[in-house]
Amino acid sequence: METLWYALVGLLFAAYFVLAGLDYGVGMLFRHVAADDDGRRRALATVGPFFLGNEVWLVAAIGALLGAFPLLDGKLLGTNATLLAVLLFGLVTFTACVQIRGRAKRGRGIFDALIAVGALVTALGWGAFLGQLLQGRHGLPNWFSLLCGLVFAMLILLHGAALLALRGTPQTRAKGSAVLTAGVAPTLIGVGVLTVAGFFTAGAVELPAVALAGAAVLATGILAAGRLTVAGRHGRALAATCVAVATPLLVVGFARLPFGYVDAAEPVNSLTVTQGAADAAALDLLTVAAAPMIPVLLGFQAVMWWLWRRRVTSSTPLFY
Amino acid sequence: MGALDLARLQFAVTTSIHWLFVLVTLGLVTALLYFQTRATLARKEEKRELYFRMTRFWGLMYVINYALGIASGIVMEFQFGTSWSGLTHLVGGVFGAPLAMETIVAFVAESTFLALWIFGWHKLPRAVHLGLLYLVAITAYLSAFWVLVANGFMQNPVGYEMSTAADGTATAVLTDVGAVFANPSTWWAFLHIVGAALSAGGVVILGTSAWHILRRTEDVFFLRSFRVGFTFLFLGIGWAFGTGWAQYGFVGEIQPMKTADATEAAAVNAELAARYGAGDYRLPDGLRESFDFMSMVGEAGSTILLLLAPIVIWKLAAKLRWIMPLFIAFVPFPFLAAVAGWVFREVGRQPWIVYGVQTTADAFGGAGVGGMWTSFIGFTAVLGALLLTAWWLMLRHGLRGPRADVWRPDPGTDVDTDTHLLIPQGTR
Ligand code: HDD
Ligand code: HEM
Ligand code: HEM
Repeated sequence: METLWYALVGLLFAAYFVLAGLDYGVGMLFRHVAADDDGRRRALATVGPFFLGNEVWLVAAIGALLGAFPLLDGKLLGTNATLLAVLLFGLVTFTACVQIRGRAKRGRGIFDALIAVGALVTALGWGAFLGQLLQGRHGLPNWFSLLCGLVFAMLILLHGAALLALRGTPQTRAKGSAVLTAGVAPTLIGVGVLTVAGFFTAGAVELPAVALAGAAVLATGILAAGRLTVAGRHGRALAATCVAVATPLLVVGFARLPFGYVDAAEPVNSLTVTQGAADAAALDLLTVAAAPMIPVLLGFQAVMWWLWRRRVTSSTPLFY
Repeated sequence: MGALDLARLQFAVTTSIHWLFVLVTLGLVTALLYFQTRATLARKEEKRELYFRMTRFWGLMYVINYALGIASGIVMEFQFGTSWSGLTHLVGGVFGAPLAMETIVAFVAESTFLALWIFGWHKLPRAVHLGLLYLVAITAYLSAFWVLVANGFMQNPVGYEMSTAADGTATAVLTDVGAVFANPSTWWAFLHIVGAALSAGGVVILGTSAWHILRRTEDVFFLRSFRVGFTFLFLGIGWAFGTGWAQYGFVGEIQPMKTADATEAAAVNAELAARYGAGDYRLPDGLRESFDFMSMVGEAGSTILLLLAPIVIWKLAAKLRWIMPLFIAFVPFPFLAAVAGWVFREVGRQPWIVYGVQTTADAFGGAGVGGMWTSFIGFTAVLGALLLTAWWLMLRHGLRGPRADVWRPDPGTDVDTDTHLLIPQGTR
């Protein structure tokens, strides 16, 4: 049962990274792709209708972690409290400013800057958090974690660019494509550096083969996204960045098995996934009552994408 | 102040802020159900138009509150892991399950349905659109219920057994799911907060309408809204009054100190010390006042509203415009009472985080003092700013009235500004 829930928690986090990653990516980029207010609103409209549904997967993921793996929740979050606090500042600022900007009469420029910074801090924070987990490290992030943060933020940027290239107005689409193609090489270099550095620092990795496979998938995804964008296949490019954005999470989830929480300094504190899980009765309850909802909700969100499947044009209603 | 105190203060401030958002969410969504159902069922064209406009106007207020409130909820969730890992360690197996259900079954569902509702105007058939609002409301109340299951367990732990692992660490194991869900502490709280939420939603509508009645803008629209707001406020306060005293005896059974008066406190303290070990179990100074304030709002509020009821029953509001400032002055009270009630419930539970099972001090697992100061100041500032912004935007929207268009559609689009749609009509 804990295997099922480990996979489900992973699925929820993956849904969060892939979907909310679009918001953060667009958030980092929307000032760049359009100078005037109208253009920026249209750039935000590429995520507009999905915004509310995207971020909420984080809520579900943390809730499922707390319910199914209470001990892991306490350890994973508790030992990185300061990093997560910074991440949350970024996230709250981002979410709030997106909602506020369209309703503010003055100071939109300031809100736009806060949106971009909030999105960047959030993406950096998640990357750094994953880096901490790969090393089994506590407290403040070190250079490796920060590097992970940087590469993850670049991935998110490509992801947002892919969405702009697919759904935006003609002008944003061109700029989105340009950002994506230009970003491929630096991101690949970053992934390469991390892979090499990981050999020496990522002490929590139990299954190096998985980590290497992950790096390969990541590199392939990034390359493919670039190629497909050049070829004008923006839908597929977006699919490639979706895979790429989910991969770091999969590496952290699988490469540390059987452990769910690793303390490199004091290995006795480490917890395996089984040790970190709730007891059978609680897991059964969750399986019956909560798990069936997940596909239903994914289905409803799919309806949303279908309702708003058209590109943003000059007559799309603007919400933000 | 130590790291533990800061963590408690941080939790207190962030939940209270979150709770102020939640109150408005729960209250307004219930009022929206009334408006949109009437609109959908209306036979006469002008009635339908009117109620749809009401749905959109109050709906936008609801959406502003909700969209900014989410951020406060996310912060709440993280704190169980970042500050109270001892709690998840000891009782997470019992306590985590309802919170997980809450997030998956209720929040994600709520947000998903709400997004469909907001962006579904004119894209979905009317009945489906109304159905979505019902789903939003049901999931909102469900989420409140689930979170109260977790909180009820902290107040009155039931349905678990302590088990000791080979290495000597104790954990709570869920043994009786039914008992956890049937916990009277949960149900009383749920019934009681429904009253708090209805009164909060009602007072927002009432206060806004009173202002417009005073200014004579859009009488048809606001006189009707006024009556709806008044009704919600009246029923909500009355319900909170009834369920409040009804649960008083039960609260005294599970946590005798909460209902002990000054003369009984010493005896109850001795009794608790005999049960749980020596210590000071008396309520902190001033806590009793927060209960008194809440019950004063409940009692005085129901009396005053009863006296004012003729204004609504005989539809006198248009003739008594000068009395409207009184209704505007009501606005803060349900909110203050609702926060005071929670402070009483939560601070009154001390020194326990889970009553009789684990102390708050044992549950703390957060950062050092420096880290806690940073996160306390940071979160208080960010969430405080969020709350003020949300209220400012709601106030501005409320005072502008249903004509102004907050969404500001583009010049080129075909927009029906008269009915003031959430989303401009006829665009894709
Ligand atoms: C508009 C808001 C409001 C109003 C008018 C009242 N209450 Fe209340 N009360 C709440 C809002 C509230 C609350 C914020 O919603 C609480 C906190 C926890 C809960 O379940 O409800 C609460 C808690 C609460 C508790 C604590 C339960 C515990 O510690 O476990 C008691 C004993 C009462 N109430 C009793 C009353 C009485 C006797 C009232 C009136 C005569 C009253 N309440 C009016
Ligand atoms: C939204 C309404 C709520 C408000 C306003 C509120 C208020 C408070 C306050 C004032 C404290 C500080 C008590 C003290 O340290 O003396 C506190 C602590 C706490 N509350 Fe609540 N609470 C609310 C709901 C909940 C719910 C639903 C839960 C559980 C699911 C919960 C869990 C906790 C925890 C874990 C603490 C920290 C430990 C402690 O101080 O006991 N609260 N809350
Ligand atoms: C103290 C523990 C609490 C936690 C951990 C918590 C968690 C959350 C989270 C994560 C959200 C965001 C959901 C979203 O994105 O849609 C949220 C919103 C909400 N919460 Fe809480 N909450 C707490 C207390 C409460 C209480 C005491 C109530 C009601 C009695 C409540 C009712 C709601 C409702 C109705 C919403 C949705 C409306 C809104 O965002 O304004 N919560 N909560």
